[in-house]
Amino acid sequence: MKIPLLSDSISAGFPSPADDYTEENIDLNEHLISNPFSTFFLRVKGDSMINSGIKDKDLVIVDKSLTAKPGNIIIAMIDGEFTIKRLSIKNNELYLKAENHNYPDFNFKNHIDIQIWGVVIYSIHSYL
Amino acid sequence: MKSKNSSNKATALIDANNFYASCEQSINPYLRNKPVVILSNNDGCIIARSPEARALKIKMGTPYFKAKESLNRLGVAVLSSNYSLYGDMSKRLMNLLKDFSEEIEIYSIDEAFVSIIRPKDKNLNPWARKVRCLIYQNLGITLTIGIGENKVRAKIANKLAKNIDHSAGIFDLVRIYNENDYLRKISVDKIWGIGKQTSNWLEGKGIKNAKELRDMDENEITKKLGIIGKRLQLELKGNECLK
Ligand SMILES: [Mg+2]
Repeated sequence: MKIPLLSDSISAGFPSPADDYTEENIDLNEHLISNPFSTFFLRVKGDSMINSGIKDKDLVIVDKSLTAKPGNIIIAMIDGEFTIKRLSIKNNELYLKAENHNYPDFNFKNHIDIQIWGVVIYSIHSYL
Repeated sequence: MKSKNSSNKATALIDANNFYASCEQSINPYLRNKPVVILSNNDGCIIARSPEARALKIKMGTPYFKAKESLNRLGVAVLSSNYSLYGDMSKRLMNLLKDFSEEIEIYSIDEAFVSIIRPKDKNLNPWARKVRCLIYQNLGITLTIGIGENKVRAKIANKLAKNIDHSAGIFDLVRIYNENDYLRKISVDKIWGIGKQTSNWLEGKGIKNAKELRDMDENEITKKLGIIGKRLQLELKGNECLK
């Protein structure tokens, strides 16, 4: 389903005068997903990524065709569970970091059973 | 290398290993590296096993009520079949394969014949490794790729890729020296297009494997099996698929 995009970007400070509709229409699937055959949706549980803006019950869009780079938020499988973390590098060592001080980092060196499953490309949060 | 076929066209049979179990393991980290079996509709009997479950010698087709106790004891995860998942993964697989082939013919939920062009150096192994790698990364599914001049030989190559330990899931029947040794490993009843009746007849004639069928008297095959038998033999010899 395509939905029209309003022509002006929203000013987060003061409201701008209403603009006309543009001709551009957006299909959210097309807009968000460039590799549909390797993209999956996952529901976030918990607040370990709260400082990155990803909150409990958010929907994340994960593209498995991308190769994870340091800085990316990724889905990993650790000890038989999915987990969402930021891939980071410190002193030449790879870590999975939570974005919440209450959660520990995972050092790849100390964990045999870490596998990166996919790269998070978007999160969708409901304000209701 | 053989030189009888100088064409640059090839056919590959690409097949997912343990497809249903791989789909489940791919989206459920708890099942990764664990023995998993999948039951038929209404949880009747075992229709799929992960490699870990195969290693435990759990048999295909066993009724669940008979296997229940030992599955429990061995710590095997038992799942009902989830055909919408398998269908979705199949659709993803086939669409991803399209980008790697000239033409694709979907043969079953987890198998496709694809046409490909052989590069100048004739070596399709880099291509096959790339396909396997990409599908594993994108879907968590391991593939077996058999390559030949036509479907019959691609199917045989796929079987060889599965049965030969050092094949790494890839076998190209066109690029080997000792083809006869490999064709002897394929019994006639395992050749694509040979039914029970035909294989009985062939065995009665002393034709036990693909090599012997390839070299059998052409007139005898044609007399018994007609044009279909003749085509099959031509494909075994490495002719391109006849339309
Ligand atoms: Mg299969």
